[in-house]
Amino acid sequence: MLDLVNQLFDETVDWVKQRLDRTSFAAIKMNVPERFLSPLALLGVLTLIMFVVLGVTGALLLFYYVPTFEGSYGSVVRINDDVTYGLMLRNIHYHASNAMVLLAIIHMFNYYFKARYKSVIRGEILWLTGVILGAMTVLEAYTGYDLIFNERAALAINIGRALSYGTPFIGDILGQILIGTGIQDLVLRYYSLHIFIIPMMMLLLLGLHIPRVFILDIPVTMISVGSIVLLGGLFPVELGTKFEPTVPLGIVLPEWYLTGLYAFIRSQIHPWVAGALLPGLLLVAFALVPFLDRDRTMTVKDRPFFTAMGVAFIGQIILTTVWGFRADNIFKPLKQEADLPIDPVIFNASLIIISAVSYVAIYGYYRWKTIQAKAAPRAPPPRKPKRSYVSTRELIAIMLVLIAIQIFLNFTALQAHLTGIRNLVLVQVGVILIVFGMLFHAIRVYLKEPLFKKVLLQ
Amino acid sequence: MSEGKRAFLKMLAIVSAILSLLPFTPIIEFVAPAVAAKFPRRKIGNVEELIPNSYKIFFYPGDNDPYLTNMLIRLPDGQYRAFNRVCVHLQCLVRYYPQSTYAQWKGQPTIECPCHGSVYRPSDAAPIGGPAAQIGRGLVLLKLEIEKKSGDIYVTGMVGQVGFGRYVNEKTDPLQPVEA
Repeated sequence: MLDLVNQLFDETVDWVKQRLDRTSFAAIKMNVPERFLSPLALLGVLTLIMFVVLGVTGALLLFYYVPTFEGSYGSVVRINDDVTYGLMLRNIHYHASNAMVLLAIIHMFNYYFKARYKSVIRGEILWLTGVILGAMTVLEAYTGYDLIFNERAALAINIGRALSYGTPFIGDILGQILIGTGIQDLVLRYYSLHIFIIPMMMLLLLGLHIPRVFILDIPVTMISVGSIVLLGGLFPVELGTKFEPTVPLGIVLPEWYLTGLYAFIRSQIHPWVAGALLPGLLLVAFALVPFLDRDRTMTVKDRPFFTAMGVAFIGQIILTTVWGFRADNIFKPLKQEADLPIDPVIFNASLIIISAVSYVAIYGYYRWKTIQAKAAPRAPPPRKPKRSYVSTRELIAIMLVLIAIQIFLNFTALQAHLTGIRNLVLVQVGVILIVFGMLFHAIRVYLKEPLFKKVLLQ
Repeated sequence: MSEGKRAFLKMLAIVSAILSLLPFTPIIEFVAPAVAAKFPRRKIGNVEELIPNSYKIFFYPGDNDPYLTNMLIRLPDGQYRAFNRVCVHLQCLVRYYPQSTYAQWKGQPTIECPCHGSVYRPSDAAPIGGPAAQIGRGLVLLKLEIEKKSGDIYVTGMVGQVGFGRYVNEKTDPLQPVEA
């Protein structure tokens, strides 16, 4: 019986695979690793997986969201409170968006420090499309959280409007492009940008960004998606206060990936310079990196200048991001409107200091390491032989325990759902997904090869 | 075919391709509509409604657009002015203060932004302090009309673009209400 099922499965898979050979699908090579890889190697794939999660949850949220100025906030409240599973989908959508931005940033810095953009490995187009995709990710997240039309959205839309109007020479036209003839045009423009235009452009760019060999690590994927669901339960997304045209905004802050820019805007330079010109120059600088760093060295310590620049930039990002949440003094919490303006002298001085300190420290450290290494070259550490550390009996025991946990959590999640404890459901579903990832990992460690090798590898 | 001929034909093809794309460039006017809004003549109040050095808020030309809230001001000398409330700095909504909250303009009325401290002059909404002064554009001016017989105040149009503001020009700006 089991043999028959197995044979049928294999034959079906073969049949499908032969037909797929005539499609463009055959050009993509899927690599399913048989052991634990460094998560750093998977950052790009994880970003893509978050994109997929956002696409699925976002498509479902479309069924209830109303893209009008009067109706949008109410429809989000309805999704939150009345629609079955609405809060869950919204939570997952929100946390996946944060995760996507964060993963994209880490992914970029990981490849920056590893010099994966270099001409030696013909990485320029991968790098350039990555920079553009990163900027589009932030724009996508920005247009997304504006669609709620709460006070946080109002602040973001205000700044977006001010930045387009502030552009020299073409400001009034840019403003009209963003706003149209009034608030209802703006709502629909942000809406179509968020649900169609930007995602479609990102999909097209992905064709130029995804390498031909594509690592799909099922355990890590499941654990990341599970973590998103888990976080959604632990830190449920807020609704915020409805944006009322006649009520002053008070203290509201942008999402964490924009507080850095907000700190610049608050430091009393011209808002267009702070919010559009500086980030634009930054993007251009990042796009130009492959054309500035041209030699053949790839390691961190052989490129002390670029390594130190990267670290100094991370220092700046952390400083400005934290400052965006704080008062005029970074050590003081933001409590009243009078705390909003930041003294540009102190702000810029601390930026220069933190850049200089990180730059000098890192540059000096790697120069010193290089000199030391020349003085006394060290032998590489001997490689440990690989061994399998799970016996058949242990594997079965582990799997049974994990499946028992999944069964238990399925029951308790159902119970939590029936009693209406919606955050607990999310936590438990998240853990179920994580457990699945662990189970899959246990099997591949035992087999030392991917479970569905035949399906996915060509 | 010779190389030169081939290059010439290639160039002609490129020129033709550019020419066939050219008619589509005005699509920008679809995205950035040339007519921002229609300005109907609308009654917004009466001369007896406001005492000197006070103001009231009204929507114009829409009814619920947060960026189309305006204020009708009666200056201390009894004159009327109306401005859009969107600050040119970061689009917060400004308010009229009969007594300025800043020591610099103590005892005088000002228009102030509660968010980042921009200050405008009530007589013509020119920026005089805070970040708006750095940007240099004033608030959008609303054209007023006062009916002599009934004392009703009407709005008939806007000078400038909401959000972008207006370049203040003391000579050409229609500050004084028209009497009808």
